[in-house]
Amino acid sequence: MNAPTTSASPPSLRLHLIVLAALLALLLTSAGCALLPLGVFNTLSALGISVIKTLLVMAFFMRLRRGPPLLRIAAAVGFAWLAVLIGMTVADVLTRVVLPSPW
Amino acid sequence: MSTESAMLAQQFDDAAQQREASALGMWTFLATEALFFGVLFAGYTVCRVRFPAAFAAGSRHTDMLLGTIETAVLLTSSCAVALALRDVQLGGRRVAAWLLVLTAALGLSFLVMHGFEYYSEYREGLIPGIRYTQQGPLAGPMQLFFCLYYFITGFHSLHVGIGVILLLVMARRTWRARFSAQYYTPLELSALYWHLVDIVWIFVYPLIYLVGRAG
Repeated sequence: MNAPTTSASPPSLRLHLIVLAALLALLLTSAGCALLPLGVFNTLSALGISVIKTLLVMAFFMRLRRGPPLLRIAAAVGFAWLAVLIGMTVADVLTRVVLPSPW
Repeated sequence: MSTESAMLAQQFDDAAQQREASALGMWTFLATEALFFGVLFAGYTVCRVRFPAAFAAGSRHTDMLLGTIETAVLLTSSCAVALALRDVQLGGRRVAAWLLVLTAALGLSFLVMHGFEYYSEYREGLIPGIRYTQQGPLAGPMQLFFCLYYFITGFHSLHVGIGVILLLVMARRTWRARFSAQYYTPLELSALYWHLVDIVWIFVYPLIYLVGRAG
């Protein structure tokens, strides 16, 4: 009964503020990139920055970086299912050729 | 330690095991939430691949500045709730309660800003089925963009609203010293929920507000 509920001491105030500053900087970067004519890289940079922001939130605010492995697996599995959902949908849409009607 | 043993359900060996089981349940719920929004994002992807020009035109009708401010507000609120949890873990009470109130206030301001957005879209005639006054070749497929926009942001705002209520309940409980450095599971799980709401918006922002802005 003596086991504490904390597995580790919580992250420092400084770390929280650094992560917040990084998130806001990434937000401005993605807004800036959207205004530049980069073609397909507009979408890629926007989504890439979103992925980085998500990883920051999950690793530091949701504390998966030092979290129990079971929770990290559960979190990863959620996103793995999401990748299957979107990946397979897109694979179908992008590879399908519209056939003209023969008559 | 009395609060800890009083909170320990009989099927668990110790508090650490109980806490990990609760967190695992929350993460499983968050996975279902990610898939719930994932379906909307998949629908968005299919429609955008089919009608890229209409989606760019639709996105240019949204308010990029307001969207950027809303994103910053949610990111800041995520940091505030993480700091509240940290304070409780370190034995704090008052600062944590106020940080939770701040988080809820930021969530509420997000909802107000979104309300203004919806109102200006109503005035511009951008709501398919209710008031849609767009003309031109892109007006038809642009309805798809706006339908997805209202479904995605509407369900997200619903989650923000639930989160605000949850955070206020947690602020009240924190103020009344229901949590301690030994027991804070409900607060931790509410914080996880709020972070997920934040993560969903991190993806909504580029997909709704940033398409076709260049040139």
